[in-house]
Amino acid sequence: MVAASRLSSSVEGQRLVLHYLGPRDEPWLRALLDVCARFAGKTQVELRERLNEPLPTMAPRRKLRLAIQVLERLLPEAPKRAPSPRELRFRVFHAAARSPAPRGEILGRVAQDLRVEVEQVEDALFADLASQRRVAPLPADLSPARLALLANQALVLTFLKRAERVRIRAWGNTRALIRHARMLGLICLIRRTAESEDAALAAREPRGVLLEISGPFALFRKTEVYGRSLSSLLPRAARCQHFELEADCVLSSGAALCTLLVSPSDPIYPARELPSYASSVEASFARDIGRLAPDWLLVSEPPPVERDGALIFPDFELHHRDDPARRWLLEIIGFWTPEHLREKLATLEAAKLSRMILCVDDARRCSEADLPAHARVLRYKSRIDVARLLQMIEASMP
Amino acid sequence: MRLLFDHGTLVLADPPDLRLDFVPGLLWDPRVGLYRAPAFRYAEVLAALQARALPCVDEVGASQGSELGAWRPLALRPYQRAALLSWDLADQRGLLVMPTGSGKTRVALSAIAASGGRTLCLVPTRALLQQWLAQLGAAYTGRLGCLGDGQRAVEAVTVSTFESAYRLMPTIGNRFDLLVVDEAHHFGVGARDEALEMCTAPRRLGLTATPPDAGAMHRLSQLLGDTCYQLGVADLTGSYLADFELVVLPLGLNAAERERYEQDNRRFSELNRRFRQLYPQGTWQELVSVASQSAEGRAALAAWRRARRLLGFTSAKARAVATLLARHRGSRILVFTADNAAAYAIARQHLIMPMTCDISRAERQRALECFRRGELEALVSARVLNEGIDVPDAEVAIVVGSALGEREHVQRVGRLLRPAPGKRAVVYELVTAATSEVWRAATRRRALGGRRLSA
Repeated sequence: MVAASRLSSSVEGQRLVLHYLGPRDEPWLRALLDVCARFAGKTQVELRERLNEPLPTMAPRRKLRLAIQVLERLLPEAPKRAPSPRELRFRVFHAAARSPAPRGEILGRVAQDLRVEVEQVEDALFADLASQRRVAPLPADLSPARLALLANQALVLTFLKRAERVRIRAWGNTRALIRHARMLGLICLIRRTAESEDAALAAREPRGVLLEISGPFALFRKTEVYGRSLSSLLPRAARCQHFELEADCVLSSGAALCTLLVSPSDPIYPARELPSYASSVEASFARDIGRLAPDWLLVSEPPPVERDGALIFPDFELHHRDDPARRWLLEIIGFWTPEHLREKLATLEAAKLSRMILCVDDARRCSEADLPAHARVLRYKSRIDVARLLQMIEASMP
Repeated sequence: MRLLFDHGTLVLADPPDLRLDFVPGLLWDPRVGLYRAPAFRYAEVLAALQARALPCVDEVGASQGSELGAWRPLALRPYQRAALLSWDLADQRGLLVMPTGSGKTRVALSAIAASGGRTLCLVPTRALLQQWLAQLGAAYTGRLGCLGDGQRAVEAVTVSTFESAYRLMPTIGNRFDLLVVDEAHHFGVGARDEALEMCTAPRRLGLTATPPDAGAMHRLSQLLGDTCYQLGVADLTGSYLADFELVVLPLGLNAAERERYEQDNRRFSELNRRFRQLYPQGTWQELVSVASQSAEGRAALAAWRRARRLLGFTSAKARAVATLLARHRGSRILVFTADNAAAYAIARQHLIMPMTCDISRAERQRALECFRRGELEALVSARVLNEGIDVPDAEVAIVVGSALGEREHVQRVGRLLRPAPGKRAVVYELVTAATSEVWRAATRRRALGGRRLSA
């Protein structure tokens, strides 16, 4: 993880201030893009060596480092699958050791065996190695302004990965944000907020939602993957009509927490639209229900249930086709800790939602402690077992 | 009064009502209201308390865990026996400095067997972890613990990577009587030293072919003990190590290369001159730190990198590599470069297997096996073959470039020194004349202990 002190930011009191890239940075960003464009087709390591040297235009060091990190993620070319570089190396180097023939002849022989051109053999020989991958051409729509927005987003995300707690208040078009948080399985509580102070917003949607999310630094396990999931929430928030993000971040070990505030006025690149199904687990579950339990009707994303200010968002509603009274709600939990589950179960109990089943993924457990006893929880590994779910429902029927 | 192990430190609970500043390393910890000392000073703390006849219950728990197994007898060469005796005479604390291929691990196994205590062996890489487990498995009948490479089992004799030891020592640091550190020169300079600090083992054995510089050596002597036995490459070549010939090939730069080199070198020399005026004793890190503050300084550093890159693999070196590979066709050859870029360039041009950090461990292992069987004649590497891998025997080394100085050079040459009947290895060193490579190469050679040179 990059040290906080090496990022384009400063601390004022307890507040973390990010120094975003803006229009003033566009000249050197353009120079940077020009350099990268000239290296298309060359190896990553050649580009990296060039980027170690100064640009023709002066660039602030921390911002430049950030922009380069963003570009490095955009530029590597995907390794070609055939011929397999690893297999190719084995063949070529063995052939060369066996025969004193000239280089071209050896490559020609290997190419002939594999029924490919000699150039393909040359190209693929080290194509899978990180430093030897070719630099892809720049995306056509990558302008200095867009690179600045992407770099700003990366800057915020880096600090979100250091968060202990995150609170997002959002108004308007919030469904996508909540869906995304749930799809990622973040440990979060969702409730209604107080009315917005923005009159126009309040007229359209008087009460927004508040997501209270545990940050990666509040966990003991899987912090890196959790941090990545959490940070992907920000671009979704940017698609709401209005949002306020507040994160308590750990800048260095033992130091006091610093608060990062992000709002729509900050220059951050918005996200793409969401896929139709929230996750592959949900998609396969919907398919399995249709196939294995034709008597049951599955409704995706039923309306949220509101109890005492808390919002509960079931993923599915399952009801029997012949007996509508047999109606169950299902929520698929992603990352979880037993404490989080306990809290969730208490909320369900308070809401008198007795017919709700939580499905928890064993692979996304974030604590060593055990599950609460007697909870109506179905554990799964990569795929929800429909037969076990139906057994649980039948066993719970009076 | 009780002495306890607490998160990689020692804690003195229920202390007597008197000043304890005669106990080495003991400090008052106001957070918990107890005396605390570094775990590696366990033996000194106990000795100091006993010297004043202060009653102390030792609850550090050094002898917990599974039972010890038996050891099979190990035959040692005379110099290995001498090394073991020296370590014994130094109260079983100290550093053995012996060349690559001289059997340091064998001495360590004998030391573990002789000490008869619970032992933790630290190694830098996963490849070495497996090698140690294999060698211990052949000599020791008990169960072996392993920390690292996906395993987490602690036994009376355990091997751990440096990384795992660093993470786990707060919980396991009190379980061992003897701490063995392979490639000990990695310690003495940074945060990883805490792995050695957090262990209570009073007996300690460090192994290295290349002792670190004076600063790190001072720290290392606190953590492991002083150097108790030292042999150089020259002491063993021709008897227990294969004899070798060092051939230095002075090469030139072509006109374009010379112009680029001079230009970049001038730029960096100017920066270096001005820095030395301001900070005559400044270190390289300080120079980089100061230079990074200005665009001009960064440009000078970039020029230095360009010059180093150019010298790493010049057109004359490319021709020399081609000639040497052709001349020694049929021998097993190791080619060493200063960086991965040069290694790939040679691999691509001469169709020889590169051994770099980009290549997966499984593929590297497969290549080493093929090299051992003679199916591959040559390997080219920047750093991967320097240490931490059991490299099969080779007869020829071509040192195209070097980035890490004397220690790297000794490790590289050591790769050729496994003895065989009638074997005489050859090390070619390609040096670009009238450049900074000349004095760097001379410094490297001094570390080999006065080898006869051919040119």
